[in-house]
Amino acid sequence: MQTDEIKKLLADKLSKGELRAVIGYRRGTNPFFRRPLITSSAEELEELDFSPLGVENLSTYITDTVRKRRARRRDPEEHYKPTAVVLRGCHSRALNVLLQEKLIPREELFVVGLPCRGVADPHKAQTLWHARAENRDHRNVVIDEQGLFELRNGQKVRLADFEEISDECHGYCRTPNPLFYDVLVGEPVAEEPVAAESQFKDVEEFLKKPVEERWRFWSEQFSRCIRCYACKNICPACSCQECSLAKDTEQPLVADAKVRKTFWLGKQQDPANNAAYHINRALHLAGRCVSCGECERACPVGIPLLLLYRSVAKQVFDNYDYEAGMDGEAEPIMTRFSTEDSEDFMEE
Amino acid sequence: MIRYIENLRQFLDEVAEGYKIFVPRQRPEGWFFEAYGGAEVELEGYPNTVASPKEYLFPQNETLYRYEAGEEGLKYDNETAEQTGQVIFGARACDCAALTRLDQVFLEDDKDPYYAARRENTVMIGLVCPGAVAPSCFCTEVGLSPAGVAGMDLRATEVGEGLVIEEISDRGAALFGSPALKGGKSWREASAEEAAEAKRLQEAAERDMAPARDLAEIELEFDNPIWARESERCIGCGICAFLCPTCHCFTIEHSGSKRKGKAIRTWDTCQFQAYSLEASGFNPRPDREQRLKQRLYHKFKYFSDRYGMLLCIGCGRCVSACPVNIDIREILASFERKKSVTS
Amino acid sequence: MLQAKQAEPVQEANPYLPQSAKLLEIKSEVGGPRPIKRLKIEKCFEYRPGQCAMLSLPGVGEVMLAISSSPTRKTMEFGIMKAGVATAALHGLSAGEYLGVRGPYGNGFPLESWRGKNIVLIGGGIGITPVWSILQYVLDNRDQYGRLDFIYGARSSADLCYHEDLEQLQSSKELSLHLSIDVEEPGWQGFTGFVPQNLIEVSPKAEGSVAVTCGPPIMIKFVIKNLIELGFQPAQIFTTLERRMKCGIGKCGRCNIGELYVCKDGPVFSYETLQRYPEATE
Repeated sequence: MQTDEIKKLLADKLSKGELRAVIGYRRGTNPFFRRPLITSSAEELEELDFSPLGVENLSTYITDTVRKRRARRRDPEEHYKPTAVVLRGCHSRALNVLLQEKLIPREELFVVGLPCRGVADPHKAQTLWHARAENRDHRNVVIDEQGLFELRNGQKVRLADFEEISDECHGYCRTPNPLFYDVLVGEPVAEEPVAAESQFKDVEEFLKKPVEERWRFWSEQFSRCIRCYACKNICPACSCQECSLAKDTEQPLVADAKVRKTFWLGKQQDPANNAAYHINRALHLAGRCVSCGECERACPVGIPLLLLYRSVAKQVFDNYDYEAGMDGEAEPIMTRFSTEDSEDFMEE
Repeated sequence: MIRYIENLRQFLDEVAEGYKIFVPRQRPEGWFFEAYGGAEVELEGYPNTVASPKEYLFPQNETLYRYEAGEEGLKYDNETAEQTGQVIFGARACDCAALTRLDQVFLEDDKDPYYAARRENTVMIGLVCPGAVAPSCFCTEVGLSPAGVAGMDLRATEVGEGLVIEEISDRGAALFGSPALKGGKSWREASAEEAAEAKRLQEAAERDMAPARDLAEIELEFDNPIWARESERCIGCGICAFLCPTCHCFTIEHSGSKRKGKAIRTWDTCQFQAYSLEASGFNPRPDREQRLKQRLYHKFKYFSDRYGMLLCIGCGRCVSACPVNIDIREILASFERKKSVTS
Repeated sequence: MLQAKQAEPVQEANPYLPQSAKLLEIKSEVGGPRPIKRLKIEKCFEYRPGQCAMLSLPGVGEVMLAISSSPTRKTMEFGIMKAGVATAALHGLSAGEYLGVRGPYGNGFPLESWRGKNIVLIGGGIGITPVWSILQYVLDNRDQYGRLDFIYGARSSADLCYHEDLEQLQSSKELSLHLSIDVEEPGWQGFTGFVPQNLIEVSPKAEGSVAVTCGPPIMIKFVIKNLIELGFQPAQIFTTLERRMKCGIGKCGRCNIGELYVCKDGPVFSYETLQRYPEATE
């Protein structure tokens, strides 16, 4: 379907009361990425946008707004109305993880699938803009499938090809097309995705380094962490009602649960607590992280989180031939065992 | 006296003989304050740092006291406070003005001795902005200036190949009276032309940022639908508060056993859901809507009601760092100007 | 002045620093799922009724509590409901053990301006603790005040706090005690019903009086409504608010209601003040 038809379809469904809300992208005040749009107003749907700047993994709002609100009995009559959500390939994998874990029934979702030919990396785009733009006014920024442009006297002047600003995820993308959808935006991507065996080239170099060097690297990275928890909060797989690694920040679902009695970590932002936070989270995401990259994009101090999570994902793949979220019906890897599971990690 | 520094490195090397120095440096992830360490300071293209320099006066973790249980009760001891002099070079006018806001809170009644000690021992050398250094800058809309001096001890303006340095406070003047700098090897008196050029650049910067509105004049509305709408996509992280130069909320936690340990203060934020959560389970701000409202109200009303100045200093870090593009400038644009008060 | 120095202990007074205090007595008042205990500790500082203290449990944390006793008494008393980690640790203490205390914090009740007036105290459950300090203070300065009415209730007779003291006060001529329990109980002599209803029964006169109410938010809401009906002006009605606190001195930002800090500008607020703050009325 074309984007106008989709907008009309969603607006129609909303006005008829068939949808609870629509979660998509729209223009915001930052020209380097699109802003999440969460609306139940048909007029606001006019703002819906499907450009390669829509990078947020919107399935994170499924756990947040849809699931947690249901748990608190926010809108009883609205309980079973589906929510529409726009998903790229990797985002549909994230939703598969939630479906596998039975966190939300499929019937409560109306998926607008978005075939992806690459997204713009906001950080790269911004850096190139600063380096090459004549007039740095953000109102002159144009980014589309062709690249990064500066508007000079109403004319688009190319500053960079799309390849220069595109996110590296293109090099390891296993799902250019969404794995499931109710309606698809435009034509599906015809090219074959990256093969499973070659998807971890980006982390292989790093993992070849001796463990002392890798530990030094990560220790330095973790020491810069300010424990803002943006990585955790923006992650769709981090959907626990009460996160064991950040109990002091969230309200337990059940008022009587005195969960704050036991802390897994200190709140202090110091090398030990920071490392414990990141390492624990990486392990909690084993077999669940789909490499959508939102954690790294959100991190204000630029910790290369994708490298950490993809290192874990590679181990899951190497040991169990499993990739997170590729099959919404499969049993999650870390909640089952098989007697055929690899035991290579055990030493004599 | 108005001074001129031809070689910044030479100057900082001299200062380093008596003080710890923190300077802005560019990394692949962005600009951050770092310990000087003797390496050249490149200011080409320097906008502002990702994290504000507030951590040098109000660290993210700080021990408040130690305790030890004994036969005759509990023994409580003050923590040693860092009293080494430190110089923060290259802080922007907005970040220096932020300190005047923190001063209101930490230095009034029941003075915070840790903040007070650091403030006493810190020299802020502010660096004048060439204009708006980032698209999200809006300091002039909150009554400040890219060349402002609030909270500053010395003001540096890039003139020619070096810097014109003006004394703003006694503490700043005293820096030049210290043994390391008294000899005048790394600085000299500025010429009239250099001083005039500095002034010209400061005025040009202010003109470049002439404000479109005065945010001290807007009237926030408690029941406006914008709070629900804008907070819907908020992920409830601490980026806005932790990067903000004026956010000062903290928590105090005990680290240790019943017998021996310490109380540690750590940054906290009203944006975390459990911030005001009481042991009974009652939470006065259970929804993101109320927490977003609290943030905006604190910056633009509550603080000024209490201390007579806005808590927001217009650096725009929260705007550019928010991963879901919640933009306080945009939110504020929905509100009307206050009706003028007739005296 | 600004030369590199060795790190030294902070010289100035540290407002976060507790002092050691001995727990003299700890008594169980109310049992059940949310037990209430009464603690008496040695008096560490002067204070006014309505002010609070931060009790510090080493290795656990701190909690801000209303000082339940009047400064005219010899010890400092607290009525504490077990709710979270700090109050649980307090409940676990034995007489003779030590804890940390710092204070006094907050504004306290304006008892000087209430001289000559009738005092109407209305409490529910654990809400007895702040008004108890007024009660003791007025009894210790009896000729400075007019009538003293204490309207107090709980879910059941087992949930009434300070019941030994209440029994003694039943026969006192210095005040009028109006106890109530929510639900019928065999042998109960007092009023049966909710505290706001009992207030209507008692029907204190508004003129020349001040009313102070503490208890569950829902009770306060209806008590205030009924007080207004009885002719009390908002400026004559006082309550104490609570919020989660950490510093207790108006710096950590946590306990705010508008630009007010409950720890510093409160916890005592007149209803007249509260009406101006939409955040206060939950």
